[in-house]
Amino acid sequence: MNGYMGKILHIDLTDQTTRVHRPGEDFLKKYVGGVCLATRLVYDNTPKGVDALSPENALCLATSVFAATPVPVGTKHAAAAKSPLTGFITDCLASSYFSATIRRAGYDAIVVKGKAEKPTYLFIDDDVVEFRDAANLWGKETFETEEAIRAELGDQMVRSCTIGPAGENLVRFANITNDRGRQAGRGGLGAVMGSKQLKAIAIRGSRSVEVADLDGLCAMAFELSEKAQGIKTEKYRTLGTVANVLTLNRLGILPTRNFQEGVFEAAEQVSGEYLHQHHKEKAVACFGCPIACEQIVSVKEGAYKGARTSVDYESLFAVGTCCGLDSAAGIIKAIDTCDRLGMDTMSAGVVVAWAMECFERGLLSKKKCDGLELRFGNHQAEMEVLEKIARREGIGDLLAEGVKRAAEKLGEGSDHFAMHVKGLEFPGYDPRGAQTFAVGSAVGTRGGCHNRSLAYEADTHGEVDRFSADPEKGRIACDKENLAGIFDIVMLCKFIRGCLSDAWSDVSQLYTLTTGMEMTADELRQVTERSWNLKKAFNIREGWTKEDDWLPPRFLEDPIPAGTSKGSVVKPDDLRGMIDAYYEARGWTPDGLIPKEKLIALGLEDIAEEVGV
Amino acid sequence: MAYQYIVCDPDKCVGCGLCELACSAVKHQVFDPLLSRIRHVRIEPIVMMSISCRMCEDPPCVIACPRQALSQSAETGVIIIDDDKCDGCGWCIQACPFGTILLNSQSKVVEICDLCQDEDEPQCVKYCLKDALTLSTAQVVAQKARREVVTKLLQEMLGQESAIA
Amino acid sequence: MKVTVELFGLARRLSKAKSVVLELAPGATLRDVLVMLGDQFPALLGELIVPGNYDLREPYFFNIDGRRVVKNLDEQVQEGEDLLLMFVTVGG
Repeated sequence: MNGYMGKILHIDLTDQTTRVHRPGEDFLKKYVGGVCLATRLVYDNTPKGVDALSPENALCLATSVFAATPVPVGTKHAAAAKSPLTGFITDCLASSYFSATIRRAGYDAIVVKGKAEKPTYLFIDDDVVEFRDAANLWGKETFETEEAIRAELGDQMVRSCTIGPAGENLVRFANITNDRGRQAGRGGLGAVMGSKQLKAIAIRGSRSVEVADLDGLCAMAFELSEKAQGIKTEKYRTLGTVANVLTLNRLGILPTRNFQEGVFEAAEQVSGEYLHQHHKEKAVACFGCPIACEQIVSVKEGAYKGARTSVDYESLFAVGTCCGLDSAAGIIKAIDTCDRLGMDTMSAGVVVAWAMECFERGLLSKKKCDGLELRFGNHQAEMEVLEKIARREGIGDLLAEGVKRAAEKLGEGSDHFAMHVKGLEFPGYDPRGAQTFAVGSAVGTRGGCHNRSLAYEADTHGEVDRFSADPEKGRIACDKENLAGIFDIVMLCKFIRGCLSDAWSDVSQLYTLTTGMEMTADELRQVTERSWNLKKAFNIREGWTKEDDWLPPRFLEDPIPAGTSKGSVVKPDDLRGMIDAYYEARGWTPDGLIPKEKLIALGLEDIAEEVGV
Repeated sequence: MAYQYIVCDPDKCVGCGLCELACSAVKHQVFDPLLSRIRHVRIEPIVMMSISCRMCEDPPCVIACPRQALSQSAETGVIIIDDDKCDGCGWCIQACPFGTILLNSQSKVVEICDLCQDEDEPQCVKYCLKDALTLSTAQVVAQKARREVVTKLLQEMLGQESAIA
Repeated sequence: MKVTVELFGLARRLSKAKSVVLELAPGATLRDVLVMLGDQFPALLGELIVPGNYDLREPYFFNIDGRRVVKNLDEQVQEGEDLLLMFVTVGG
């Protein structure tokens, strides 16, 4: 086969058995790869209604079509399962050497079910799968685990995805880490692994990757890679995504102090520019990426000396401006802490911000916070509480449940400012000043997510008036989802988007050059639709209703108090109108359910039977 | 004439590993780091560099080979491998301090960077988007370092902030 | 009339300025603003501003007062406006 390896590896941790499934070309062309293939595998392998932390929840990894080829930013994998945080599908994207190695070991996807009797790690060595004792690894940090595995197996070519203490302790937003700084970040897949007593999946691959048209693919890949050195990616290569701090602040939609405000008075000193000037060491790349957006920063002196990690905008806002932190060093330390312990920086930051607001409102006492002054801007308290969350100690045990459950437990009206959609903590764009994102984030299948949606782009790039709540925005949100979706399916990092002349035809060409299979732009459009409907179908099966597509009360009731977006709010009627338009654009019923005919037309007949209306 | 070899600047290298794919593609028509003659080393989070044959004088690999399967071109310094004589014993691999003579585990014969003598230019250099890889000589490498440091030290005399050539 | 141009990202990096106040003739357009910026900060020409026709290189654009994006460079500028020369990255 060209591109694809043609094999899906199924692993049962309970029985310690494995099986290889050869799905055939038609199946691969239908689901392509990435989040679409991963979601299909979750749908098929995770039984209806099971608890996300039960052995029956299937963790599914699926590579990019372009993994281990020179297609720029094309070496990625998706990881998906039922989310312990939302109870719905969570589909994550990760990249770099681990993704390449899944393919080079001979697989397009891996499905892990069951639960090990004791702490275990898998070692997939081409065709051989070993269930290895992880007693010596349990308790180790994420990267520490990766290195320990390499030392134990005596080969630097072994790549691993790992969980840290947060995953072991079933923190609901624990993540899976690979290649030190890449994460399958959101929705708690680390807890899924932890619930299986699976500390890591280590892989070694010795296979060559063949493609249909080597010269053609190399030429197109090179051309794209050269474009990726130009102005379209300049921001990623110099400042990185943290360049967004000052621009969003100026637009008045930089989430500050748990989304109470949209302007942060200390934005300059936590900005991308500041990090670049005072903390940057180097910009590095994932495997197969000619952009190199990963900004490695470190703290060279002071209380947080030694903290060292890569910082992206979403992590920065969540543990930074959202928690009122005015210290760049503190932000680096907080992100480094989350990375080592293996938890989603975005969820962690927003949960801590909620706790800070509770504290300031007197809803959480100092005693309840284990003696911590959990105020906005108190970076020491933030560092301590992050550690507590990972270990589920004291107040950390409540916060480890995620902001939705924490607010439900605490009550006292704290759900008003529990900033999540479907349980997934909200990302760094205030929808009150970005109304396309208001609908985009409300309807997202994995919860409040910027990356799967991309709707905020319409708002910030001026494709629309960001303050207007025109129902048309529902259709725009749908189009943005479809476009974002195709990147997540064939798998290309979205940062290359500006370098493609036309995403659909470029992707179609890359697909054919790699696999030798015809794939027209229209067929690609169908694939992304198939993917979104698959995700939605899973959610419906697991109990989704229309009420789940909504925004937290703060966005609907508290206007932004100051700054360029002062006075903005999301009006319930407006949101309803935009969501209704989104459902219509999707071809769903007014209740957001999927007509049988639609699922059948997408080739999902079995699913039509189960959840179609 | 000075021997040319592939030089990697670790400050410019971002760890993308595309050089390995370029090499295996041109030599074996597949993408496979294990079939690449330039190899990337990445020590997280910022140490990264690719390395290939240094065209040593008195190459340890040539000296080590028990079957005289290796020789060195006097003109280019490239190590020439006699496929018929090489039996994949790997002694040259142990002799090389850089780890840049490599065993092809399918053919059981060693392979080494030959500066893409059958192509217009070394493919790893061509495909390195960050200009981290160059085809250079030891003399030019040292010369660049000297020019860079002198330019930095004597900026005032130069009268401007120069781009380092 | 006076307008303030605020510089972000590449614009800030090349000009080494965070913002600049420009004195413009009435009826001046966004393109005229780019001409003046090019004069004041020659480093912007080429990488950010296309020399000759003074187009703005994608993906950069003007956002007026942070409230609305204007892609048409022939649109006239008003007294006292804040012109944000910016770009927002996708993702993060």
